[in-house]
Amino acid sequence: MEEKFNEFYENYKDKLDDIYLKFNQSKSKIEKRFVIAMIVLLVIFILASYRLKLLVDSSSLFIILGCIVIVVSVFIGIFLRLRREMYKLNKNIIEDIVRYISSDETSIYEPDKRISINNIKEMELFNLENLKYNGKNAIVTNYNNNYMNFADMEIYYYKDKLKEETYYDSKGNPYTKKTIEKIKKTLFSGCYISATLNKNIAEHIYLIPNNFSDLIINGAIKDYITYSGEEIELENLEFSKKYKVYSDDEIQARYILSLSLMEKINNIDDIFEGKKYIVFKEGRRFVICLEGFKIEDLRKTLLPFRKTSSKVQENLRYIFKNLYKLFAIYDVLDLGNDLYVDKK
Amino acid sequence: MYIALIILTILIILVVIIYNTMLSKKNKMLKAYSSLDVMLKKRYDLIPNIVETVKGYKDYEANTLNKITSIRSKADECKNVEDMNKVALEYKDFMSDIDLLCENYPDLRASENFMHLQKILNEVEEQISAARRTYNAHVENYNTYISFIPINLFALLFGFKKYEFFEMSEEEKNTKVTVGDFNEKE
Repeated sequence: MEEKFNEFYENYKDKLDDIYLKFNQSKSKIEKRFVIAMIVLLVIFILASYRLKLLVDSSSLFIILGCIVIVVSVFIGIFLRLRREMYKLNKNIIEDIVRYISSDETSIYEPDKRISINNIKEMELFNLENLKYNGKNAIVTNYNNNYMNFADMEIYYYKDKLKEETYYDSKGNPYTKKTIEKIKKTLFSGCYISATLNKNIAEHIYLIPNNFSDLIINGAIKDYITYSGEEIELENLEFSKKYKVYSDDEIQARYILSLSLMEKINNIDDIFEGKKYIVFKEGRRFVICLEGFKIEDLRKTLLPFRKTSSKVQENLRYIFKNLYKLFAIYDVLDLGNDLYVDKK
Repeated sequence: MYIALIILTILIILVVIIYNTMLSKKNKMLKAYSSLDVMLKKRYDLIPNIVETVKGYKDYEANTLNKITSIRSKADECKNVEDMNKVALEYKDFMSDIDLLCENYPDLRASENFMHLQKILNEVEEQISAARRTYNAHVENYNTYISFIPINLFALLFGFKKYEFFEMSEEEKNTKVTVGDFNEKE
């Protein structure tokens, strides 16, 4: 990975210059605007104070404090505005990294778009009639001739909680008021990866983390999940400790989950330790949901305002490393390539 | 008297549960067996296509043709796993001959027909492997269940016998490809 990053960084230096050029242009505009606003505010404040005779009658400490507040507020304003600017530019950086890793110049990163609800429904994993879905940071790319999607996804529900509060009337007598409070419970929060599968199947196969049902505390599990089928016990013990496998067709499940694939799925833990939900969908697609991994975290990893800072390389490496992981998972599973290819 | 009746009722219920569980496990295993049988027949049905593809090559001898005709007819007559295992061994021999032929004739390996056939064969082999794993898992489950004490006594009483596994050679365990070495990934 480090080698890949160094190669990317070498090639990206020119692009980085462009990014900082854009940023510096915006920066000088923002700074000018804020400095002008600060001077105007200071003048108005001092004149108003003079007019109200605060300078003479009251202590000059008020004026000094007022000026300090204005100056500090302006500096905070500049900082926040610059961060927003860098946040916008980070979109291009993520897109460039995805394009570099996938070698697909047409890759798109849309921070405000999410995976369509139909895609989530087609997974047939979560019951969206009772659950809510939020998402953003959609990435569409073509990696080794395989169409892939990544996006942040959050699946949650609201649980009613009865709340009793004691109030007192005008005579001082206590009375209880009952209200229903809605508490948000997150069932899944992480990254959705969808990619091409090299085998054609007729029934869904679900790989659910072993402790999945623990997540729904006091909830009826059937209200929230839609996966079905018989639980299938497979030969790999390590794999069985991590996942429960469900499918309506046992032979097909074993056809997909070959001994080598189970081993490969175990190996994904070397790349990503968190919980994973895997669905092999009807047709030639499969979906992996990585709990805890969010593209938004990469989006928020901003480059420093100065190009000379050592943090530039460090933050770029962090973004690159994490995006690379998403592709590495796919590489490890190796489910996109034609199964049988003549070596010649 | 009542206590004896209660104990007797419990015992009858237990016997019924044990019998039903044995039957259910046996049925699951037989279902897996029939799927395996279907897959194996599909494999042997591909033999004429292989013959059609390789018959133009001079190393391909007439006795090989006889060999494969016998494989197909034997496959149709299979009645149990033991028979299946024997036919599978003969099939393996036949495929070794084809492998040898591939090594001697690189143009055969490169031919479009052969490559297409290769893909189908590999697909079928994977399906057989899945069906075999399913069958063996159910056999293991069933055999283990009827070995428990006192279930083994009931198994003996009701005529439930242990079943044989469908064997897989070490070679087959490691690779799903039987002809040439086309599989780049597995």
